[in-house]
Amino acid sequence: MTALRLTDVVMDFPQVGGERLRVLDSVSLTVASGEFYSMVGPSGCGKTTLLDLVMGLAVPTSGSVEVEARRKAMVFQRPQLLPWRTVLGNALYGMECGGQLDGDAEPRALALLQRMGLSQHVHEHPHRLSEGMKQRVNLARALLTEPDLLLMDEPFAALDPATRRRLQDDLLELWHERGFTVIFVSHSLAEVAYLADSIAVLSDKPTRVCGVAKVGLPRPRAATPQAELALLQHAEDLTRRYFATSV
Amino acid sequence: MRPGAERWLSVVSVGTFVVVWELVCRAAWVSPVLLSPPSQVAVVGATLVAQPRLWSDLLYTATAFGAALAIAVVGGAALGVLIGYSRAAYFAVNPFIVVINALPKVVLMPLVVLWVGIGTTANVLLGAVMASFPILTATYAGIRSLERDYVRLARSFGATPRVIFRTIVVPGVVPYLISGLRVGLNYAMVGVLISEFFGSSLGLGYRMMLLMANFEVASFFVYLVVVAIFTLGASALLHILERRVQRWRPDPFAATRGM
Repeated sequence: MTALRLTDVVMDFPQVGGERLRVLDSVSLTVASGEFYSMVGPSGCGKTTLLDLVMGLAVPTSGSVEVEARRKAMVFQRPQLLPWRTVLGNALYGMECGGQLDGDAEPRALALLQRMGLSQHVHEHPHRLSEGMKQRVNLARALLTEPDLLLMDEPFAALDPATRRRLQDDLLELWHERGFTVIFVSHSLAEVAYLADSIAVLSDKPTRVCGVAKVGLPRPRAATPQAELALLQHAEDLTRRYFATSV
Repeated sequence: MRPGAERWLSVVSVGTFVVVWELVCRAAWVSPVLLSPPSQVAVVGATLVAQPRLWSDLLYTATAFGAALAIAVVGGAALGVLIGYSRAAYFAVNPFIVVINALPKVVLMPLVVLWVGIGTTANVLLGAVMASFPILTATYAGIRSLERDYVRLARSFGATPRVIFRTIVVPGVVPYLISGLRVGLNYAMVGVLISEFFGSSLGLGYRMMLLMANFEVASFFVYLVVVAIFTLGASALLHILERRVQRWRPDPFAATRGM
């Protein structure tokens, strides 16, 4: 089953003086249902625009965007927790926006927060949390809406390596358990080689898809030193294959 | 100096001020027609507090002040939200705001009297007009400074404009509204008192004019103190409200502490 299909998507932005800036240039890609799909590319290459199109926050200039998802949720790069709400209030916020608040909402939120190691902090305000905790709340807020398509915009880019790995593992665990589709934008091939089933490599602006690589490594991918090494080798190969030629 | 000892300086300076004031009057350096000594103000104050007139004046002015502030908050916040949301409304309304805001609002007083006559309506109206501008501009500033990313986030979760207003606009704007209210509070008091100066048959402002006309300087000072206490009290209430609303904020003085 297909979760997302983009066909010849073109996106232009009007510039001052009547000119048009082409951000996406006939982008086509297909994401299977339940797949962990990632997109990598140089910064400022229109990845965020792509996510906005999938979320329905923007409309393409031409081409088609077909989304087969009952419910979508987005995890932004900055955690964007509302500073006046507690951790629990923020976790519930996605459900509140979607009109999904019911009697069951709070216990579910508390259970997920506990699972993510935040049970000590549910009544604290965001300014007291570390970046890693904030990003966990951000993830919890999205997952509580029970999306079948989860879009993630460089969610772990600002974290230190140890925290990043812990959050990546949290995410993988929840993905295994719940079977939603993930579209994960990153600028690190090493990160997506660890996480993803497929990697779409995007070019600089105007963005095109240079190629889609399947990551054939067994999971879990860093369980042993050998696996870790194979992972690094794989990322290295991908870098050579795509970035050496496409830049 | 020991840490915390600076606080006592406030007590010392106020005490010195009162003592010097008393001595200046006792030494008859100033005519008693112009200035009453604090001891006499205290004695007169004690008698006035025991009489109902002071309290009915206070109640009258406080009611007008409360009504003026309520009108200013509702009107100022509503207009601030309107011009914050709609660029068209902003450009349509802004010239009027700029011109009226540039005027010292006191000059509107003769117009207010002409339109509604002297009395309670005029008192409330001038207070409301004066107080609404700082509230309006603060609300507008609050809307303009909302994080656009929060709105994008809410929309990504499918929030309707109504939910966005309730969960992002209101909590984001309230701190601005309160700081506008802090200024508006004083303006409302000024407006009400000035209008009472012009003409009224009751109220603190009216009584102060009357006392001055009769050279009852000590009583005038008592009323001055009453006005000060009332305004400080209103300010303190607002401070409590502010603390309640902004419990989530990190300590605002953390950065300058120890400087």
